[in-house]
Amino acid sequence: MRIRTETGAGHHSISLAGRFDAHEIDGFRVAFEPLMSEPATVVHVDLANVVFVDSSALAELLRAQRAARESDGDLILVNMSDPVRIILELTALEQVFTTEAGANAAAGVAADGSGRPVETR
Amino acid sequence: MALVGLSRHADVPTDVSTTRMDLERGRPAPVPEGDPLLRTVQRLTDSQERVTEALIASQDQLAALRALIGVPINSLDDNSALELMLTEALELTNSDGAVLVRGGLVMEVGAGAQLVELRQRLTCGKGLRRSEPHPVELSDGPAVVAVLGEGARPGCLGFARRSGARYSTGDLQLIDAVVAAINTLMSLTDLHRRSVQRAAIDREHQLASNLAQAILPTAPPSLAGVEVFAASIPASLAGGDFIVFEVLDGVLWFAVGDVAGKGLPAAIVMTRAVSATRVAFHTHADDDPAAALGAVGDELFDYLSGVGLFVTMALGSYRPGSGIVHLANAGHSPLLSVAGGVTRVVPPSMPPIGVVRAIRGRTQRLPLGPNDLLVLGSDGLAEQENADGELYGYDRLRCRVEQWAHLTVNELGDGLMNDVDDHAGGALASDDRTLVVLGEARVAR
Repeated sequence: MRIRTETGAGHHSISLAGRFDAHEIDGFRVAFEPLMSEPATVVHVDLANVVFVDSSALAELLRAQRAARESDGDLILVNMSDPVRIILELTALEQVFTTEAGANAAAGVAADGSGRPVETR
Repeated sequence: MALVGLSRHADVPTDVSTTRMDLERGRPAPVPEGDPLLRTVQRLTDSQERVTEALIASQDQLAALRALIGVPINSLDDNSALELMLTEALELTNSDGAVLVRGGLVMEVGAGAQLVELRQRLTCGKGLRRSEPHPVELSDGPAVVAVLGEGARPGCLGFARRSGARYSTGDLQLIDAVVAAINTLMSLTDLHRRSVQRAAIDREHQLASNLAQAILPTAPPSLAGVEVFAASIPASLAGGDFIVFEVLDGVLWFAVGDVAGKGLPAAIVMTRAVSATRVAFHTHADDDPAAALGAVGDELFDYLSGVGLFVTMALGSYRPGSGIVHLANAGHSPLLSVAGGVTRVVPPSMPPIGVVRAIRGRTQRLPLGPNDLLVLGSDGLAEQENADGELYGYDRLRCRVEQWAHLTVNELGDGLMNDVDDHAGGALASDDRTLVVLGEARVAR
């Protein structure tokens, strides 16, 4: 799975591409946890190019969501691909996550002009 | 031979026969002062004896070296083999005592007061100027110290003589050979120890997996009026999929669930989910499985939330002949109802257990009359990949159920499990595979 992190003033996004399964959890965590260093952080997770997601990955997204909400932030799923959307419907987790269909959530970076994309994998 | 040659010499003294006899007895005769020939003979004889002694010593050392490297380490425990090696090394190096220090191990062989001083030096690292064997002076005599091994468990080794000759360059080379032999032994010992530890962990893992899997039913329940197919195959030794059956007052209670994750950690959570489910079966009305599922959620929420996992689960009840299955679904799939020739997906009415505290779903009433079926699987069926990475898929599963809905529940169950297996084509199981099929009892459909 490719993980692309973009950070800017008050805006963080992680774009995932490929399979998101048990083997990719550590990589996601490495990208996500540094973003939680400040309170009230909102992280957009762009899933447009995720072709497969399993229960371990869903559990990881739930853990990340809980960590964000505990510090008054949130984790927002954006641009869900069909495989992701179907799994969320089958598991009734679409009612648990905050989701956005907009495409600009992950791209609207760098209000301070410094947010550079970082590809971690 | 030299003496025979001498006898032909023109200046052979008259007492040469006496000299020869004395030499043959091993007692050199006194050399008459000023006789150059006899002095030459004496020097040659002394030289020959020294060479002979050196050869004998060399042979002894060779034998000791052979004994050192031939220590039967396979038939001894670690410390016995090491002790035997050190004992052989004493003879090889003509030492009176040796001390080996490694981690918490302090081993001494031989005797002598100098061993106490040597041990003190080695345990505090004093005198270890470099890793290769090098001489040091003790109060009671010479010694040699060297560093053993590398990495996480280094050690040190010392040899000491009570008195007498210092260790020569040749001795140091022999001690270097001893160090190499002991390093090899310690490496083998460490490898063996790690291998034993891994084997012990594997055994414990297998035992824990067997214990976890033992909670699952080995055969479907027997209840007049209903046919049940049940199979659960973990992807590894144990898994997070589970099936629970209970027959209470003529009602078949059933649950099919899947703990997020794989392997033994998921299996441990699974056993707790099974226990909570059994309790819920016994404490709820059979027309309200949503309440039973809610109770399971209440029981497990803190535990699951703490470990960051969730459980998808379908829980239901069926009274044979009633024509109705009561079912509640907490985010579980695939779940298919075949009724009146129509196959439909049974949607969840609540998220998986462990995600939202104190949430309640609703009970769905699904028809289960003659020729109807209820199919409850786990995602390991739909997510099974073949060698090309192609998923078996939810659509294919639904098509197969529609195609084979006329079969008995056992024929349908076996057919679906085999079809997923055929799709895998030898590829490793992507996840645990679980399947339950319920239908009214009949011979053929």
